[in-house]
Amino acid sequence: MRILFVIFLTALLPACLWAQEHTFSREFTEVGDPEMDMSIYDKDPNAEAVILFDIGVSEFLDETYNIKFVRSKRIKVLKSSGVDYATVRIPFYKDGYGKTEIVRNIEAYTYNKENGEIVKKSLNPKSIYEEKINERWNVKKFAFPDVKVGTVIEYQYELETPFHFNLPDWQFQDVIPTVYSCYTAKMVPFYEYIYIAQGIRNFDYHHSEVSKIKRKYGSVSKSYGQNIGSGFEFFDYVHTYAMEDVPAFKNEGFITSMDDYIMKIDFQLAKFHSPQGGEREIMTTWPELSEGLYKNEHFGKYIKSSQKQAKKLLEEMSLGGLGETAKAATLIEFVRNQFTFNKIFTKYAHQSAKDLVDKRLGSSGEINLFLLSLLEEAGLEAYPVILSTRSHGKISADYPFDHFFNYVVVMVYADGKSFLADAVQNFVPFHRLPIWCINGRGLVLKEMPAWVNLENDMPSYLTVRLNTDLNLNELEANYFVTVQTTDYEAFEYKYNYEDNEEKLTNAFLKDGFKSVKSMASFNYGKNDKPYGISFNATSELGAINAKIILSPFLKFPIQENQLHQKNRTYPIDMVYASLRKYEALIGVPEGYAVMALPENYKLNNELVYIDVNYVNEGEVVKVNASYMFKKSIYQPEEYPKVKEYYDEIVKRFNQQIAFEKQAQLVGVK
Amino acid sequence: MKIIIALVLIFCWCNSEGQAVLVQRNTEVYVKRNSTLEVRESCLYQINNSHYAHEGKISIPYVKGNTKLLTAEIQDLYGNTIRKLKNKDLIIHNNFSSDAFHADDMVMEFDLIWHEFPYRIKYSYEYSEKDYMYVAYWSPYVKPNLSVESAMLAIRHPVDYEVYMDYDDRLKHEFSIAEDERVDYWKIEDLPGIEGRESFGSPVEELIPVVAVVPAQFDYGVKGALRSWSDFGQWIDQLNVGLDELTSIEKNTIDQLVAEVEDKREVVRTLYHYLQDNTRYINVDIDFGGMKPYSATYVCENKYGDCKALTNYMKAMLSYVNIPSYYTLVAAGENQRRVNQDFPSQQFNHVILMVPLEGDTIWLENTSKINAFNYLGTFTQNRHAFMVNGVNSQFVKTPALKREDCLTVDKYHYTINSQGNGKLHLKRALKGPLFEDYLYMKENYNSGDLHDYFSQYLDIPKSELMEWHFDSVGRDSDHLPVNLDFKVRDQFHHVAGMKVLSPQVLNMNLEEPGERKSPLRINYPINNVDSIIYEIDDLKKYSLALPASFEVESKFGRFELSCFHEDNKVIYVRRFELYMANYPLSEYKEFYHFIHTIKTFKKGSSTILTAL
Repeated sequence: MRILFVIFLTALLPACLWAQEHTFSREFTEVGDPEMDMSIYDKDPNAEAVILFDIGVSEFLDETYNIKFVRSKRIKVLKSSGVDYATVRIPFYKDGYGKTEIVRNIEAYTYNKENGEIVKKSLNPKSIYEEKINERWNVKKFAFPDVKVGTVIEYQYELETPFHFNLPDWQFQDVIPTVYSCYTAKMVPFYEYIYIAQGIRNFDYHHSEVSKIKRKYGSVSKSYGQNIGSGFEFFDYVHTYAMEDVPAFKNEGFITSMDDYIMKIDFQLAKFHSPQGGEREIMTTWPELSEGLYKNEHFGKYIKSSQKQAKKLLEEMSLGGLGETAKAATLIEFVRNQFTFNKIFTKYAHQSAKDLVDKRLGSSGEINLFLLSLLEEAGLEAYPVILSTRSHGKISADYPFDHFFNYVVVMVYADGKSFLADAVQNFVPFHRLPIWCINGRGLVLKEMPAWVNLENDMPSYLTVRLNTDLNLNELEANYFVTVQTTDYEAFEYKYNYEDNEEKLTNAFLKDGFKSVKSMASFNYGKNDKPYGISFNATSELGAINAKIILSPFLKFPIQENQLHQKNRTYPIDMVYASLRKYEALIGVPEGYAVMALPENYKLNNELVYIDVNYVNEGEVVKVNASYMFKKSIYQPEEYPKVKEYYDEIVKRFNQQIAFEKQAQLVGVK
Repeated sequence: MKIIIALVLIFCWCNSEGQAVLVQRNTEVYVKRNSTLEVRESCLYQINNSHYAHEGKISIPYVKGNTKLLTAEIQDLYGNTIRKLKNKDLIIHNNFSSDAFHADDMVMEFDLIWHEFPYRIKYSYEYSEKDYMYVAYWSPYVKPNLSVESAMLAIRHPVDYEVYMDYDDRLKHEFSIAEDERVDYWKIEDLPGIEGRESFGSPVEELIPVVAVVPAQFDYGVKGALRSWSDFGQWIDQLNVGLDELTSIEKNTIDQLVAEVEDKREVVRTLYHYLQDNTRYINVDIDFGGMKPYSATYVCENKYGDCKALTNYMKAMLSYVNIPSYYTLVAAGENQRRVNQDFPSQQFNHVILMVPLEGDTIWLENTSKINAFNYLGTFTQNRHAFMVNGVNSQFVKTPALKREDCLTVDKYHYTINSQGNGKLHLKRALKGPLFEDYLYMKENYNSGDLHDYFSQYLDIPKSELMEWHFDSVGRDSDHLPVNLDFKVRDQFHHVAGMKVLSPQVLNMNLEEPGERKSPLRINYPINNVDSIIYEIDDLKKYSLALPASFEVESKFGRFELSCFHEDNKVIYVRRFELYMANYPLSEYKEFYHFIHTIKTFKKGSSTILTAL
């Protein structure tokens, strides 16, 4: 659960006093018996290590107003697996245009108790290694010496950053428990930030005050107490946030990413007050966010600059005579077919449009913004829509924070209607978004930005047909199988297996087949038609005494109810509505008869449709089963019902049927 | 009745062969007069459809001021350039490996990806090397999964530069001598790609044709020769010379530790425990770090190191208490390529310590904080390892895991009512590979992760794990018992009005004999015994049809199953064994049938309950 605060840091809060007793030292390089002698962390006896303190201070330097961030952290190792926390990585950033972050003054100490004495060992600076991760990111890393169960380690470093957008954020929580975590941000009046606190209801300590230290901007010269210089004097605003006894972050499953849930505060630059007078809003409203993006060289300016390339490409195409929708469809298909996605999810474009067109390889931002340009150049009305992909988490606040959004698609107006388009993938019809985009709402960047719903209740279809023959000699079943899919069901197959025979074969083997052969597929590239796969297969048959046992649909239907909890406080996200149909046509072997068949079942209400039907025609047995969850999102109060429906589906779609030998009629008189 | 199948195929795949192919690979190696190695590599691929476009993500070794990218471009099928790579598209970064904490080697990466298929990608680069142990260790593949149309290796060297070579017969070898230079060529055409390892198959590395050429004399950190294994051993000794100095503090500690210990074996054990409790594995691989250990002093001070540093340190500690031991190189891995003993060269990836005591040899794995004393396990058992001892360096066989070392005993005890609801207590007594896995998880996973692991991998149908615990065992124990309690539901299977108990069937997926490509290799014995007790309320109200007992034995192993009825219990006892052995591909079919027989029988091993 994410709780958001937005507080303007310039508004001072009443100071609260906080002088709670604590057992462990919070001073860097001051280590005492309590931390050395502890062998277990009472509040989490299973903890392999515990963070005794984690203290960060950010402040603005004189003259450059670069941000200096100093961090000190102390960890106690409690179990042998806890020694893994005794290596440190400090990443730092270069923008590629000469600005760079600098990491300096790394100090690190190891404390062990030997014969009752605390022995301190310092890190050899030669053992600090620097590595290049990519063109932008480098990392400094080191391993503490002499670490074993019982050791206390601590380190401190300074990071100087010229990037005012990146006031260091702070995580109060880690995968091991934290005794004390404290962050101080000393703000200058020129930069105004807002922050979001995630997962935190109340800070254990939160204090804001005006610093007593006078600072100067520019030249200040005093005459009778009055400044007659061109500069002025100011004081820092000091904000402190602290948490105590923060439990280890446990990944409970069914979450998008740890980053979405861990207790932390994120800062975002909101305003710049120029020391020369006047102020510049960095961002406060949706229209400004939109305007900001349009002015951004990696977004709006990229759209503009891609016009030339778009024009050139259009010249080579013949769109004459096409209506608006057909024209849009042609262009979307064109970009989908011609441009390859490099798997970088972003709303920005970093390479030039010319490079994109030359290479035909780009990020999601580059491809979709280029599509936008192409549509506009072809005379269509189109707007960028920014959104957060499913793995990037929800846009959970009504705050115009740029970093909530990591993807861009296009809203297209054609023939008096509008639809959302994406050219990064080629798995769904041209007017549909890929599954990763189906995540709440997106923001249409018009003069007055507006929200658009990304969810879609139009059902997708999956149909699995199995024509089955039983081979009793080998105790095998032979099948001819067809799988037909539309929309998002098709997306799943196309995205996961890429129409690759080997990948599909492996997937079908997991569905319970023993061998899969003569596979064929159709309509892979034709997204407006159902995508189909057909193949021949065999599976092993079961036997109980002399009876032959068959699961009509093998493991195609869902095998286990994934909903385990009794209740749920958050909605059930089905992503999309879908009708799944399974049909088996089973030839009864000669001399055999099918034994009693399971009951038929039917349920149809506003939430779900379930239908299971068995027909014994003597020589063949037909089994048809289908279900549809009619909504893409179910509310928590509907959870118990949904859970029960899944129980029924798991049970009824996986029932086996049996065949037994018929008594031979010999010489009736 | 036969179901008539109507087949309408709108689109079929073309033969899956060759969706991306290495069309041409040329590697030229030139050994200069001053022994510097110049290598020029060029590759031409054809990419036939978009699923293989990612093969155009290229990564090549990079040494600053040395590696030169000569060409990198996309071509059409006629060799016309479609697009050339630009300098700004190159990415250079440290080579990350999961093994090394820090390594100083760098790689250069770039993408050659296009959208109109088919297309070709071509790149070539050159670099030189002064320090090397191989003139070439070459395979026609760049990646074994891509087939190769044509590949060639050429090595040019002064005639008086002596080399040894070892190569696969599938490669055609020729050489020529002109003036004072000799050129050797190896060529191969139409080599199919190799998919991953098959079940109980030999490692992929053994299926790949390789050319290995080593210099008779070389300088890698120190000068050495490869005329014999003894040469190689002496070189390792030279590399390690002077690295065995312990700090005086360390010596004091050792004195105290072993002061009261008389027995030599116990001294070794004490020092091994000290190593395990005080050091950890951190690999910093710079300069000659791949071969030369960090000194014992370094380990004394940092209390960390890689396998070489930790083994050298352990050796130094033993040497300080006058117990001789041997630094022993090994090709480690559960299913590792075997060392070619006829070709003296660096073929190892790990170091362990051999401690010969009177009447008993102790083996120490020095990178593990949890291994039992004198336990090598699946990682290094049963293979020829190279014991370094100057001129007397030689191969020694590490002890093999025996069938009793790998015995896993599982006891399932279900207590259920007539609806099939109730509980299950499972006791697993583990040895061998499962013991290694569980011990690792016990020491490294938190309780939540363990819970998830057990729930997921034990895969007990319709169950919910309630609680679990490990029984406590001594630190040098080679077995580990774990107890798990589950809530279970709906354990009867209802088919056509029958009420059925069906124990889980062992899942072993094998390639069909027609598709199998590699010989059969069972690296360690498999030895499982399990018993399943179904204790059922009201069992007396039913008549039971129990499966017949069954036994099958072959040269590969054996299987037994018996089922009986006792009071209100149905009891199954099963035993399954596979022997550690190697078999040629021709015997795979027999193995397949052996396993198939067991599977078929197991499937029929249900018990039917009929209400009286």
